[in-house]
Amino acid sequence: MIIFKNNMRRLLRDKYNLMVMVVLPVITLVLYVLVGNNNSPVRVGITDNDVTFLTESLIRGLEKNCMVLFLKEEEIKYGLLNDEIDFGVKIDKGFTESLMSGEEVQLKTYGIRDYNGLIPAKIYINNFINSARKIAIASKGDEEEFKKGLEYYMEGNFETQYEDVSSVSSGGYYVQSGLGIMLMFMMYMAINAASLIGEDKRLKTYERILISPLTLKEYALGNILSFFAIIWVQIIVLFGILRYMFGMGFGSSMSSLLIFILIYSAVCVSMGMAIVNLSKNLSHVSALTPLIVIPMAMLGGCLWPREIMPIMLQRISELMPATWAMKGVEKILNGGNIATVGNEIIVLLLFSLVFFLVGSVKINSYA
Amino acid sequence: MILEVKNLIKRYGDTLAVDNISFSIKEGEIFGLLGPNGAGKTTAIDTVIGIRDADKGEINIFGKDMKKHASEIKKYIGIVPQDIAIYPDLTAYENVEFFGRLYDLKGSLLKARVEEVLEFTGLLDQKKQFVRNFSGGMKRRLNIACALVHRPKLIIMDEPTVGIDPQSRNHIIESVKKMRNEGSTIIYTSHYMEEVEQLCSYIAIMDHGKIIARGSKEELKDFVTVEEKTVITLDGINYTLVDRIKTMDNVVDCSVEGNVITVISKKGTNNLNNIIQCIIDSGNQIVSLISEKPDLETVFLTLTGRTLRDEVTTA
Repeated sequence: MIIFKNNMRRLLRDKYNLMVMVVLPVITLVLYVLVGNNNSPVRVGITDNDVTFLTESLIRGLEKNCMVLFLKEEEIKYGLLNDEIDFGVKIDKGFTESLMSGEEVQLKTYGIRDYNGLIPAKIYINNFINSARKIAIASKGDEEEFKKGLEYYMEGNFETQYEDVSSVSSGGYYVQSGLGIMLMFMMYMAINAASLIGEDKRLKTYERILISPLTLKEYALGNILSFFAIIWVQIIVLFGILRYMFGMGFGSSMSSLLIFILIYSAVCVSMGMAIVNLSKNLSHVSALTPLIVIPMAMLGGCLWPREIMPIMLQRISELMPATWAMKGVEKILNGGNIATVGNEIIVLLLFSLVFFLVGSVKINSYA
Repeated sequence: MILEVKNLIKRYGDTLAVDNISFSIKEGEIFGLLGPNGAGKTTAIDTVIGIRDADKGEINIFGKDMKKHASEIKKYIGIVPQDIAIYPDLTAYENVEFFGRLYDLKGSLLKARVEEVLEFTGLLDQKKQFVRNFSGGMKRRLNIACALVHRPKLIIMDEPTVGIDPQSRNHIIESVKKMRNEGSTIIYTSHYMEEVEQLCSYIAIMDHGKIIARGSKEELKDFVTVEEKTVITLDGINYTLVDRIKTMDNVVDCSVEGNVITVISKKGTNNLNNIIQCIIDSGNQIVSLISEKPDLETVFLTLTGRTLRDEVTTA
């Protein structure tokens, strides 16, 4: 406990650590929320190549829940990439005719990210098409009958109500992003904390400690415990900030989410130890940290959905622990619990084991 | 014996850093390990206390084999490392407290010991200051305080005065003298022969990993002395006097420069009284007289052909 207490004192007193632990994640989150205000309605870009009473009714209904932008087909892709729309819908020429003839029709939809906020719009479109098809079948090709039926349907009490079973607010994507940012800064914090071993070596206190009756095992254990403790402090502080400052809900399995992130902290700590122990000196660690953490966070989906990346990068990202952490977070936020993220936990523990072995081999050889 | 080292060998690759050295230290002795930078002093110390594994040799401390009883022995050893090994982001008090805790000190005893060593090293008034704001000398003193907090039976001080101001150096030297008077057993390594000469009762001279000479100060000086030199300043020169001194028994040479005559006599002849009598008989007044004996620098120079502060490239 001597090393543990001393490390905690050193870590909590270090202004840079406090920056990485709380200040930088909060600033990043604030920027994230400011840039992507989660209270804004879902923006749907529509290309209507059919322009019939049916498509006009569809759009009119959609406008009740969403901000509808009329775009040309080629503008949809641009709008999605530039975050001008959240969702794109293309209505092909002949859509109404096909539907009225009783065919199984579907609209072409486009999206980069799939998040809870899009669900009401998708449900509305599906319900509308299904209902319109049923009306078309019932009207047996009579256009006037079909129009009457559709108007009756539109004037009725039909309203899309969507309730997330996980109790996550419609800003679920932002909750996920908030947690992604937290996971990224956990990696930073772990490397900073693990740097204490390098700092001990640089200051020569490492040798001095080992001259004392304290054993190498006790020294290593004290260090590891302090690394976990500081990350857990960070997790609790950031959870509190996300919950009470940003008003983010974490779904019905808050405890599962917390346990899962605590398991992920083992990856962060062991990775920090591996990086520090493989580095020649602390400057090397400082240089390596952003080169490792930022790409890992980017590829792992901490900063944006992995789905927007090319397939090859998505495959590469499977080798990143952050990917598995984000997969688990996403599952839990979407109503899962600790039992449903078993695979992710196993992969994360394997990563921890490998990192820990890499880190500890060098520690032992030093002494 | 507090410490016995037999046939210790430590290699770094092809370099023989410690070459089959043996020495022993009695209780209450201040053992000086003298040698230039790179002579192997620090490696020898590091190997003795277990920081580095010996390639060969036996180390017994407090009558116990260091390999078998390291954790028990370490409780009673205090190390002042050559490099300052303290935490700059902690206060002086917190540093000493931390190292005290490593030796199982707790509660009021720990507090009392921390205050005691800070006072001993003259840092009590600065106990709440962060070490990053300390001068080099203050850091060196704190480095010592951290090693003494658990009242070790054997204190090892590895070049404790390197790179500090004269005031701090004097403070450290006085502290070591105080510890000597209190009966502490100390190994003191240095390449400053004046310090070793002042402090140590027994000295081993190391060079290129080997102990090339050992003994008390007097024994070492006698080991190399072949002649005794007396430098006398007179009120005036009488050349008849010079001739008379030259013809005295056991006088090897007598030379004159201004009012100063230098007399070289054979080793151990103790003819200073005869020389003084000769001067008085000649009617001259003695202004000053210096009987020069060789210092450890001379001993080292004689043994190795270079001075203690010569730059060396060996590890």
